Amino acid sequence: MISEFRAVYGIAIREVKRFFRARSRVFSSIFMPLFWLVIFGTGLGASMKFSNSTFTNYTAFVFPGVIALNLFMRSIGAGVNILVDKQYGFMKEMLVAPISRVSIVVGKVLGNSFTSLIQGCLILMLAILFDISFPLINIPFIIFTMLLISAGFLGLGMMIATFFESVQGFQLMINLFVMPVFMLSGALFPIDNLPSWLSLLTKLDPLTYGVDLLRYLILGVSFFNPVLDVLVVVGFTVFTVIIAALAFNRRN
Amino acid sequence: MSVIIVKDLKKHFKSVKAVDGISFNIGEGQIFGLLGPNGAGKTTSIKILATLLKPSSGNVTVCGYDVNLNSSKVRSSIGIVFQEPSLDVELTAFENLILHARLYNVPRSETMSRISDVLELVDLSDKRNIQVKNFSGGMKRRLEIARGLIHHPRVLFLDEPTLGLDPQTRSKIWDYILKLKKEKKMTILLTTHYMEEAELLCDMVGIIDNGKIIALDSVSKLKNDLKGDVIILDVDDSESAVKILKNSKNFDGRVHLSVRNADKKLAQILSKLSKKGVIIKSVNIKKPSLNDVFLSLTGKQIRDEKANDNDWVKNRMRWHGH
Repeated sequence: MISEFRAVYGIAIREVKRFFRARSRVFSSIFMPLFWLVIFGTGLGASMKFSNSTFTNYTAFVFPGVIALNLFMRSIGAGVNILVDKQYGFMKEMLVAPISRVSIVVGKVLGNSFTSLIQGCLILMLAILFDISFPLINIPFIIFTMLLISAGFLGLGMMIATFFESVQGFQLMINLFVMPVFMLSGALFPIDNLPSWLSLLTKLDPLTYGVDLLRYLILGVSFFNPVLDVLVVVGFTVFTVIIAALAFNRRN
Repeated sequence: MSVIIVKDLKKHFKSVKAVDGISFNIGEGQIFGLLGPNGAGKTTSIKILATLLKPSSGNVTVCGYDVNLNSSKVRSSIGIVFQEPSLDVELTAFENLILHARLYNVPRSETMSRISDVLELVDLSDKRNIQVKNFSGGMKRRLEIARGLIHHPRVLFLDEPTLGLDPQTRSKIWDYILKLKKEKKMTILLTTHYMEEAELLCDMVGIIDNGKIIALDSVSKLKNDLKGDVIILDVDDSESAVKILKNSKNFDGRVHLSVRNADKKLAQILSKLSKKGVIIKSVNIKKPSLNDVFLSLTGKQIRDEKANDNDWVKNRMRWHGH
């Protein structure tokens, strides 16, 4: 058992190192959210009025959504590194080691969750820039939520990756996936005054609950009961990681 | 005692029989070579022995553990170097090695000294902190061999260890393999389609073709069994020499004579000729190569040179790409 933990640690460290060695990735992970907040937030906020009076500032409203968007996009996309490892042969080194397949998946999920978390924290620091304030006591909970969102979508991404042989096929599938999940998540618009068909779709989107929980922790407002948010986010994460591990085990 | 016991191993993918009932044993400290053309079933066999593929039928025991029942024990007792590179090129040599130590749960207290040892063994100590993407093909191979040794395996699998490497690098890799046998008494199973590689390295050779082992013995035994020595004589009067010697032929004024064990028969042949007054100008003995053995067993060359050239380019690209 201890040997499995050590393997998980080794694999996780590798993922972190790989992330930071790809300079362009680190760079874009900081600038992309900034563009979202500055251009999208300011631009749309300038001409948008909320029908209810909970929010006065659109940039503040969209801020938790931008964090969630980045965690989500990076995590689900990171499923690709299973395929990259296969393509460059490193997967065989892990498969032939005396460790369980589950450890490989868990190591990758942990390592990539950590890098997503770093990215999330960097965006969180931008709050100062946009004059968004929240109780500092919330920070550990925010971090925990960010970790859960990352791990959940990493699980989903890896599960999807096990069905593909090539990087290209996977990326096509992910592109198909990313837009609807993001748009329906309530990251960009409030979801309490929607027509019933759209409201139903947003409730089926797991990211909705992650965005809602972050918004609760950062802005103090949420559409659902935060307890429900926590339950859905934790449930989703546990579910996808288990399914990913099973799918990976089956395929290899 | 045999480190590896393979009994009637079969593996088919749908209707294709990749491995069709092979059996062999490898003794402690031996270098055993599976020799055969591309597609003969070498890599499939090695993958089964390394528990990456499940056999369709037959028994395979590695270091006393059954590959089906005890795959985790098998994995921790073997080291393996794959035909295709399996390093993380973004990491440094050291990082690749320490990751391997973690995957195989090498005792923490020994990890650092073992990493230094294996790097020393393959002469990469000075490249310790360089990212592997900056390595040449030969350096990558050496690092992979080093990596395969960190967890002190009882047996090392090398799948085409010198495929795609230039001749100079190949002979260096051969040196390292022989050093492993001499200094570490390592049991090694290697696959190759290079005759000279098998001749130079292997104590025992299993020649494999179409999923079957068609010959299994030491290299010298295989060659001696073949009536393949050719004595080539340059004489003043080849016409009469051919008449004197049975089974000889005249090629462009030179006498070719096929015999078994030419070294022992040479004196006899020479005295026979000189008694009849034939003057001998020069004598040449051509020993059969493993290629001749393969040729006589299957009626075909182990590889045609043209395909091999393409292979070489392809594999160079594989090793130097990305």
